[in-house]
Amino acid sequence: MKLRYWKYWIACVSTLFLPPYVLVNSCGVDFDPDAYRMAFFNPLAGATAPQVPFFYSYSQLNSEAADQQQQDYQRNCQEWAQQMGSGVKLADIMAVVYQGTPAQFLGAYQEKELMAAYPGNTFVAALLRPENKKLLDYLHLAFRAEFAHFASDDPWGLDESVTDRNRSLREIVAAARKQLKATSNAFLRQRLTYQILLQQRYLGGYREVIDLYEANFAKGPGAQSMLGPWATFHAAYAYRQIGDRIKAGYLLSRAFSGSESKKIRSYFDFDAKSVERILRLANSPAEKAVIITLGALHNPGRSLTNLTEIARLDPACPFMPLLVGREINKLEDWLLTPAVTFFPPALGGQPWSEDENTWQPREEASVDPNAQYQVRNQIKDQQYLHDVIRFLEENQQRFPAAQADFYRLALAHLYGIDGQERKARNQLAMISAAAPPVLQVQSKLEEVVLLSRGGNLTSEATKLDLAEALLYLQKHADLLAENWRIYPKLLLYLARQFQVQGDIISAGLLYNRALLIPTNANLASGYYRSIAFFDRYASREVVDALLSLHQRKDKTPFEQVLTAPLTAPEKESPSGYSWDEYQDFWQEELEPTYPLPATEKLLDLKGTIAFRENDLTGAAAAFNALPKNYWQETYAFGDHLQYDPFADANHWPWQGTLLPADKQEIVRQAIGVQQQIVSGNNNAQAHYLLGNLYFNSSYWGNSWMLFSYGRSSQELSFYSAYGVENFHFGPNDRRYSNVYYGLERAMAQYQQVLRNSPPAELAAKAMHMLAYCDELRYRADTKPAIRDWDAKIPPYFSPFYQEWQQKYRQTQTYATRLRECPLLEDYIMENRK
Amino acid sequence: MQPKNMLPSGVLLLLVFFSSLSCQSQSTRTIEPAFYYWKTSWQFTKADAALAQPLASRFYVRYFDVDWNAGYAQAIPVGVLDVNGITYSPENRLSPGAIVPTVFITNRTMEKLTMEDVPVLADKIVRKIQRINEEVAQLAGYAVYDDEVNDETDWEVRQRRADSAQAAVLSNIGEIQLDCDWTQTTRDRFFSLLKEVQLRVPNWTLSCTLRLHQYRDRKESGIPPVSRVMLMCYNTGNVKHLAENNAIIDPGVIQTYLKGEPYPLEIDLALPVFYWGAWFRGTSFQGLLRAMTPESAAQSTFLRAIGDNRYQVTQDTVINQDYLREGDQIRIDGPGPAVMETVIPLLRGVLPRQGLVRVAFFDWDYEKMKGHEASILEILDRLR
Repeated sequence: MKLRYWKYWIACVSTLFLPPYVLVNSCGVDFDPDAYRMAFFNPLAGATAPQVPFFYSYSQLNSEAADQQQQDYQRNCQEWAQQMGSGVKLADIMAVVYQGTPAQFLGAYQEKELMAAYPGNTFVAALLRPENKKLLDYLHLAFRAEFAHFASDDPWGLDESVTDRNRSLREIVAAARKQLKATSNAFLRQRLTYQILLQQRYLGGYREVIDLYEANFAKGPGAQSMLGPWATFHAAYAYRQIGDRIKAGYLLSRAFSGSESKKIRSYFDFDAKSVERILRLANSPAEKAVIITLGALHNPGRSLTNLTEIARLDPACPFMPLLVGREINKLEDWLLTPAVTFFPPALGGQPWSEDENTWQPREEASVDPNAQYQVRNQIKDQQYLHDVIRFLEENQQRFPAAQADFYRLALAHLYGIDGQERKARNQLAMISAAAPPVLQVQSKLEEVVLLSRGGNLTSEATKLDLAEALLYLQKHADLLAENWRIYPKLLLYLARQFQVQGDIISAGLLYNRALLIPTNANLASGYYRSIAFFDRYASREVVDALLSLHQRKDKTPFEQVLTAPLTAPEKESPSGYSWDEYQDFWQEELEPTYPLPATEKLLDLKGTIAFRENDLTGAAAAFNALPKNYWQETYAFGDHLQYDPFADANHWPWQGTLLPADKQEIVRQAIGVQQQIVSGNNNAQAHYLLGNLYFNSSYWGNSWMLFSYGRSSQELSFYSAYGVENFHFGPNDRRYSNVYYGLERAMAQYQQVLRNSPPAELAAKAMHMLAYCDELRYRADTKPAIRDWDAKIPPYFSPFYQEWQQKYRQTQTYATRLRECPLLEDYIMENRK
Repeated sequence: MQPKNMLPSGVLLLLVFFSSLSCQSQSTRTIEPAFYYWKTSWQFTKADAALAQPLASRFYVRYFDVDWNAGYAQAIPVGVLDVNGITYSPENRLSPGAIVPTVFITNRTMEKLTMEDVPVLADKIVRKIQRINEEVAQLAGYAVYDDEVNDETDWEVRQRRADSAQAAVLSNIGEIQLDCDWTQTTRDRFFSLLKEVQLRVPNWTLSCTLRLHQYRDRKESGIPPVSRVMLMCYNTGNVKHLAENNAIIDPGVIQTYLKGEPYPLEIDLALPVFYWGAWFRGTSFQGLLRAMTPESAAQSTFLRAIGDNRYQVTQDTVINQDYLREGDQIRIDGPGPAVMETVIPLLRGVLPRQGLVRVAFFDWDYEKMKGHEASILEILDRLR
């Protein structure tokens, strides 16, 4: 029964106080994990361009086209060039073989207009010579095959007039066999054999694919040709189709190392669970190293065991820098992403969407810093950092000399993350002055990491060094990993370091420069976003200092860097979005073109902080410096400051006059009421009005925007209770929790009403408000401990209700309240002791 | 105080007694076992056939999906079943029993499709199904022909047997099933598509799937113009919510949907025979661990049971490409014995007491089925 009445009571109260919500992105975020994954180590410092898809990244593997540098195509065309002899330009071969379309070549061939289709092309000219007819016929055959593979005018496969691919491929195989019989040219025979192998793969002739591969491409000249690794890839497919997954895995590892264009496909087809069995087929330590590499590339967890084994087998393994870069980026994700963004590590699990047939970004929840496993896993990750450092220390001398600078940087970076400044600087000092630019830039970035970790960040000397390093990095940001937004992420990391050392001005301005890096705090709406950091962490003195920055002409170099308009690398949006599109996403103009918030915003913030601190005079001074109509015309103040903040709390839906939003006027009236109390004039009524103001400016009241820049239903949930900056507004839950949610100030004023001999009606009102505030305080105290969104709060009966019923049931106020909520009396009678 | 609308306890007891009597009385319904075959290529071996023999007399074979393609600006077939596997190896064979070509149509397709284009799509779907039917029959014939190639049987005899096998396959196909999670806004177009398909194959049975919400909210969802519906009794919850009891099949959820009058069409049941592990870090969903079953979880050295179907990771572990960290939670979703114990009586309640009911399990996988034949047969038996 108690529960039943409790539900009715909540229903009544909810109806009375339906709060006006400000929409916030508070249900979790849905970003590409790479948008917020902390990564300062550029893996391009050691890896080669075709290895980019295999970086430790959420999206890179799926978004990168294979062999963007066309290295395989170049190799293939070089073989053609060698066959054609001098006078044929490599670029002309590329133009015919890879830059045109099959239809273009086939049409021109049919119409005998090849020279017209490729004017001045030395390759075509050579092919048209009678002695090269068989080569031309082969090329025609190869283009026919390619056309057959990609022609698909009828996706339903129902149109009889559309080419039947398999029939075409069978004709091509027959033609290739015929040409093969008619030529003794080794180059041509190899190509025709490859064509038969390739088409048979698609026709399901797997046995012939395997036979042709083993006889022609497994070893010898065929294996050395560009066709070798391509044939190896197709043979792997054939072996898998006949059930030999181990041999298929071995061949895929060979195709992976021998070809750039087949790398991604080989990676995807490789069965990482069979590494041990595949290793038995390897013929050399280097082959074993590649097989282990493929296994390691499939591993999102700790791969140091693999790296150690590869270093033992083949210290010159071309994939080692890639693998080292992956381990460093993993460590950064595990150690730094939670610390800087308060999200969990970005990578690790990638939910598959059956509906959309694609990998989905996770809907992130915030890290629970107190979770015991979070702490334990951090300790293990820290230990793993030491393990990777030890591995690099032990193997540094064994790796190829040409990569020495890369490994020095890798070590310096890990030392930097670990706070071993001296060792890090030793490594940096050894880096060659002639190192490639990408290493030089990374080296400068390490300086920033070291400056942020060592000594006193707030010293002017450090800030000067930082300014110099940041300007350098801004200028060379294009040499940091593309699309990874390393530079703004570094600023966010720096912001956290300044925050730790108490320099809130620098921290906030750096934070605002990195505002496009998602954190679980910067998802607020536009007006608030640029002051959100300062709202959480700044004192009024800090706001004054920020205000003075607007005026100062003698800014230090560091302050100039902090307050300058955002630069291109800072405005770089997550991949796939332009700055404009990103603004559209937020449906508003992004404020932080300038990271220093506008003077008006700072003044309002200063006044709001003073109001929270109950310094009404201080609040008035700040608000009075703003235009009187500022709140009517700015942000959402007009919607949430239009009700009388001194009115009784139960006036909802609002039936009084709507007021123009005006903080100056509200604070002026509040000061007047305070003075009334001091002068001893009608104290009970004055305390009641002040109590109403404190109630209405709380989370529960009609003018909460006096206290907060936003309001969310989730503020009082378990999820926001543990999050460091978890999607909610201002410092309300920490510094002002008792006032804003717990109604401490309001209740004190209602108590004062009762102590000042109020008339019965006023006393009844004050006592009712005390009971109501007590109920809400209980909800505020209890809700954050409840993990289940839908869980019911255990019933609580405020003792003030009983007293109210006993003492004031004869008053008009009592009758009015019961009329507004008829079940109230039943509720009190059921619960009284 | 006794609530006014409460019946005296004696009357209540009598009601319970009679209702239990009625539950126990024998029905005369015939349960026909079936399976969905939901792979993209035909990998049905003789071993599969042997295992399937007592478990399925009908296979709902996914022939292709239909999805909207912006490039073509039309609905196109996606993931068309590769039937070449029928002859890849002598080990590969057709499934036993009848084949029901089944086509999954995304709701997105129905959203984009105009009413004018419905007949065109119906035409394509039917022709595509018929094309695949012919391929399947032809390849089955080849397989028979090849089987006897070393027996020195006269080629004409072999050819006759192959032709006969081919004809047998075609005669075993007499139903089409369309699978679409239609909504109130796409209902009319989907129903129109069903009618158009039926017009093109008047002698075939046309069935469609029916989600639980479509069963319950039949006023909004409508009654599809088909002979039979397949009630899909799985995917009952949001896998991303830690608080779910079982996102694949939750008796509590099913109970809330199976309300109201009997469904006005012949009804078949689709039940899950699959499991997955729903993986969480804190309350945050990390992904699905598809290979995880109650057995594999119970035997894992890196998991500790913390509830009926819940486990905690005890050491950092990589499974395929997922990096599980110590402290993560895994909830095993799926049709465990305790779940089915509760679900079966609920399902019996919606089945007709007479006539044919097909019970199709989703989906066929030799490795997962092997060793679980008895539990499948028991479910079938208890639904009789």
